[in-house]
Amino acid sequence: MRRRRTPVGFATLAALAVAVAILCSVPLLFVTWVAFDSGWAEVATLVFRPKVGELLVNTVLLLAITLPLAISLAVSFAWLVERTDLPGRGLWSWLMVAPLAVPAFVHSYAWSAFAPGFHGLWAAVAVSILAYLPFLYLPVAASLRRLDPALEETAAALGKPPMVVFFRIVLPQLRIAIWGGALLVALHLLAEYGLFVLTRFDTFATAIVDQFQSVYNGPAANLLGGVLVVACLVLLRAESALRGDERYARIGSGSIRRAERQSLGPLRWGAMGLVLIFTLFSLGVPLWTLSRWLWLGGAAIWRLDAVLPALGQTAALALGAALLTTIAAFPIAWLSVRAPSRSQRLLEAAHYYVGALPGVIVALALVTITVRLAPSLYQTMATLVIAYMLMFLPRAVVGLRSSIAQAPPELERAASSLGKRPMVAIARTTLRLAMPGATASTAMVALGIANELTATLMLAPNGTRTLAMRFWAYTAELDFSSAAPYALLMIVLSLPLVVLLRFESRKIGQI
Amino acid sequence: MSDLVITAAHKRYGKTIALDAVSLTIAAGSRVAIVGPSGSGKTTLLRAIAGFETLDAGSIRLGEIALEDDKGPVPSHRRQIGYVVQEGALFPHMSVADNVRFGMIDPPSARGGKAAELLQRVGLPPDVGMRRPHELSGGQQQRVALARAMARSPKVMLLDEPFSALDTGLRDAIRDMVSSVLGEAGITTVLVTHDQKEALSFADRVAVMQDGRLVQAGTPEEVYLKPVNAQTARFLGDAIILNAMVQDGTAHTLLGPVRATGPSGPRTIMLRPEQVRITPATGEGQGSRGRIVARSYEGPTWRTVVEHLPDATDEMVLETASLFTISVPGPASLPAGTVVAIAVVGEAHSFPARS
Repeated sequence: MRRRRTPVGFATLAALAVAVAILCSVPLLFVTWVAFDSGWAEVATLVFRPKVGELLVNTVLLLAITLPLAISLAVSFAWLVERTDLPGRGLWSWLMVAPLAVPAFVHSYAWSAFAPGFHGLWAAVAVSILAYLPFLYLPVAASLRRLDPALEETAAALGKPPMVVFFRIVLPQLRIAIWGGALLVALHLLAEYGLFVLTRFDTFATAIVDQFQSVYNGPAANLLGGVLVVACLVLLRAESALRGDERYARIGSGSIRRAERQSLGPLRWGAMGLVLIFTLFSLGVPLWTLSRWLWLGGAAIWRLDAVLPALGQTAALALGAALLTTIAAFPIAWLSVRAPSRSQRLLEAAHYYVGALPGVIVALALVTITVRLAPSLYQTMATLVIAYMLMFLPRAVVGLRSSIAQAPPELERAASSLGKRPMVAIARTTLRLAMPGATASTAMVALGIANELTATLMLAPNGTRTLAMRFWAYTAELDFSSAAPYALLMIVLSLPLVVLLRFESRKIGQI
Repeated sequence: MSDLVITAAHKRYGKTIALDAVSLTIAAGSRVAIVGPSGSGKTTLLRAIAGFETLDAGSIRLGEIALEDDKGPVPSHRRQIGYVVQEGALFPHMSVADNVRFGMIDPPSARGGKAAELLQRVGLPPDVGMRRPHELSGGQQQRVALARAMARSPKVMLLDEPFSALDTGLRDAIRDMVSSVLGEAGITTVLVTHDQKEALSFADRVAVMQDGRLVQAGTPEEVYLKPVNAQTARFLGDAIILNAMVQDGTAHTLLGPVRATGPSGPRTIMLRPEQVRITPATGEGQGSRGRIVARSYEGPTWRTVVEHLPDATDEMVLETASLFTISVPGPASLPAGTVVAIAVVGEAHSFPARS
């Protein structure tokens, strides 16, 4: 067999991808270093103590209550919207995804303003479900749409009533979507800070930030971070074990017919009530609270001398970091399209895993590294931008990969045969053709960064005032009215992301 | 006996009429193929029998039991009708044996043995039961799908183009297997297909659908040799359609006089290509003559295009020139340009003249 041809520019881009992957390994190196540096005795005293036990119980309870509820709701809603004659399905399919436009900590801001006594575990569960349900809804709805109706019809012809068909045929096919979505929700539950502070529910993330704010770079925060990383790894492992490597794809190649919608009959009004209540809670409450505070605050809360600089600073930071992230993502995205291989997939995995880690871990790692190795970088914009890059790298790789895949490799070869050096050849052909897609993916990364709170709070140099930071400062002082303009701006910035997510899930069936 | 009786079935989707007053009786234990071009309503009819589509009007009865009438449809899971689709639709998350056991109503202890027995009946080795559907070839999947549908001993088996995803060689083998398994079990079978050869060889009755209407039902020979109109004739195979003047059982055509069905007068006749024989012309003989225009080799036959050569004596003939495509069997080589004598074997079928 002939050896596969090495694509133009392979060596340079592979070297760059390795460099980015090494940068990505910083958080894991940090956790390992913490464990060794502290010594067993200190690890034992700081990890095996009642406070950690309490956080662990809280985390387990939060996951154990939220996930089953969220899965049942997401599956029910997806089934109602995709498979029944629910009136107004087109509208509902948007409204089910729309809560994503409201950052999680804005959801809990709305609820703590709407119902001031709503605190503790159940408040945390309820607000988490409202804020994160779309992460489950999107993949489940996409899978339901792609399911071959012939399977269900065959099961019916084999004498099984609709309920049995649903549980034995439909639900097992949704497994991959359900576990994937549940993993995403679970990782958010572990990583989220703002939501749980406002619902007064202690998790590892809130405890770490508290510790960090009282004692910078203390071993206590670092070791809590270690426990949190272990929890994340357990979740990742559990998801891949549950998903298994079974094949759920459709067997055969014929075109798929659209499923018949089931008639709900008189039950449709009950179903309408259910989705309506969820929408009122997940969108109505935030919008109502926000409008109320905006109304009460009137013109006085639009202090443009504060709002405009915050907007400007957020935009500059988000765009700069997003641009850097896209550039850092290009080598691996290009390799994954042009030269896929086992080592390339390993390299790609190194890019992805940081995205699964909570922002607090990335922040802690960068603080520790800069304090130890490069004090001049400590609490600078550069460190903050690198943190953003690490956190949002997966999103950029996914976005870039599809646009690179659309540029034919022959053009690179043609350009290099016309005498261009490899990097110039790639820049003038693939990079140029991938530009529209790359721009869109940069914009999506920028929007994500604009609403980032946790790492920003921990890493931002003094004097930084992003929208999220301003919002958070006012909310902490219970000045809901002054916080409202910032919440509104963050929601507006998130809308394009929601539109894109829904569009993508319709197109490829997965988020 | 529990005949399957469809009476005046109507179904429309928006402005499209999918079924237009379709009535069809399928005798218990018989084998019927429903054929027609895509969009003719054949799949809709099958899905209505299975209970996946609700009729706008009309009824479907299985013996004494009304599957669907004015009182509404019986849900598909209570119909006891087997259903096998093109790709087999095996449940991908279950083993092959679990697929076969899925619909069984036997006591649980008996199911394993019955599944093995069913797999054997469709010609699969027993160890296939442990495998996953995606590990099987297309033909094996189709065998499992049949075994699964047989597990409930249905009275009627519906086959929705079950062979069309298979390779040509495999298709015949699977079709023969399905045919013998269902025949032995005495199960009434309804096959939907757009492949006329499959319909003619599989069924004892063929129902032809066009634009939502059932245009003809009869034995394979009837519908093939005596189609109700030219469109049906062409759908069921290559056909040579000619204008003719029929007088006392003889049609005068540009191919010369041919025995024909139907009353006297101007008619349209149909000949199947295999009724036309060509031989190299020997001098000035009587009868019709043609010239080979083109030919292509197809293995067992030559596909040969013949141009009819008009003759001054053809006074009764309404058409004066025509091209036919026929298959000439054997190695005989008739190169382009050869002048041939055209003879017609057997009887032509005639319909009312084209307007």
